[in-house]
Amino acid sequence: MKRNNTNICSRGVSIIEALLAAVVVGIGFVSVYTMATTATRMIYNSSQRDNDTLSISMIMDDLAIDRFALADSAYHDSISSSQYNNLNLTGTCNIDPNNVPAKKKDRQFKRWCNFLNMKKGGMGSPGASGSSSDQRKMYVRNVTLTSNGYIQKYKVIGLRIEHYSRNRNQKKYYRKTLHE
Amino acid sequence: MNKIKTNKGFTLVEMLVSTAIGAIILAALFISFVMFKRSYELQREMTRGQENGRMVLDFMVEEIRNAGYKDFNKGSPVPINQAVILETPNYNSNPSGSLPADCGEQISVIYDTVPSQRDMNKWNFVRRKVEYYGQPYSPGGQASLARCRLMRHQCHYAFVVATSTFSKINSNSNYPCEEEKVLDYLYELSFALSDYKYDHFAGRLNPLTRGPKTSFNYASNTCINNFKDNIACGQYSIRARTIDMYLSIISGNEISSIPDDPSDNPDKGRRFLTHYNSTMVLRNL
Repeated sequence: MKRNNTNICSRGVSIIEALLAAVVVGIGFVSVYTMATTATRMIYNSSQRDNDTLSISMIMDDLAIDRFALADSAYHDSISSSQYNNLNLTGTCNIDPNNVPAKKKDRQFKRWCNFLNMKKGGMGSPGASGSSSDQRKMYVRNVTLTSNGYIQKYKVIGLRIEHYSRNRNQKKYYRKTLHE
Repeated sequence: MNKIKTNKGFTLVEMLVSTAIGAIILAALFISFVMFKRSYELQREMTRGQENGRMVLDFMVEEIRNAGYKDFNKGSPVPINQAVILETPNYNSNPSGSLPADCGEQISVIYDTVPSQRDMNKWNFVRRKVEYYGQPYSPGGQASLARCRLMRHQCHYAFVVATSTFSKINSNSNYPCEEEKVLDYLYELSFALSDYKYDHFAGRLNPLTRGPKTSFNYASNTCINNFKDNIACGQYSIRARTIDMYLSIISGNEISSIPDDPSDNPDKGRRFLTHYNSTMVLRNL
């Protein structure tokens, strides 16, 4: 009786127990590995988002500062809500570099559209995930405020970016207000 | 007899099974270690590229945007006759790995700054000339480590109203005349100089398509000398209104976990490229 008790206490672990332990440790490894790959992907995504923000701020700056050459009517269009509102920068926008459009708005559209579509340093071609497609659209709204009898006119320029492809599920709205 | 049974040790089967389990765990540990190492290398290089690119882009854009700014000097500004020029890249004879075919286009700008309060009595304003350019670099002369680095050369010139002349400021830490390293592992630096219609007139980047151009119109030696002497350069008679820039940085190390992208980086080994685009609307030209 004494011998049996000693055997029970010193018998170690069974194969089943050892295998179970190995499986548990394996699950731990897989979890940590998944964390590492997720971190890498997140850094890559943050780099992409950084490029998104830089691209958008470029377009906003371009539009905000571009209030010149009014005398050149063959080229110039004012930044009007009728011209620039709902400008869709999502689609295909490649042009023949030797046959560029004559008007400013069309040139800007092509330029911005190509800039956003660039794989290197831009956002890349628009993609889709399931039923949702990437969207890049510009909005221009006229705003008039009256304060103390003074009429203040503003233009609110917005760029709405919706990305569903390339592991980026993001909706962003960039906005800039121009005083006229 | 009882004592022998109690201390009998492990059987051969138990030993083999435990060794096998131990080996599996060790293999898993080793594989995990290798994966973590690769992941760490990749994250490190991506983060470095992102951090360096953002930093360089920020201050290059800030500086180039100032091109042509004239201090008013009590109502009569001294003209800047040539505010920006673009020069031919430094070409590399044996490009490979992290060393590209050339180290990028070189850009120089001129603008005025207001002197510090301490120096206001001496000088009315200070004119600053800055050049950004890529330079081939091999630490210790080792060809395997060859790459490009981005340099900045700046000098300051003080304007004195009494004599209506500029004089180069020497030995003044506030207004240095020096060359300094800005970024290591530069891979590409391209520009497009355009007029107000986005009509391109210099640089290898097409501002409308962002693709390559065939006519670069780099400043001739005469133009470069005129730029230094504040003389308008006929070659760049069209005034630059926008400057587009493309910058890319290559990772310092090869990373085995990066899949080669034949359309993007066919012959650079397993290196990570970080790309940045920017545009500058020049307010002063």
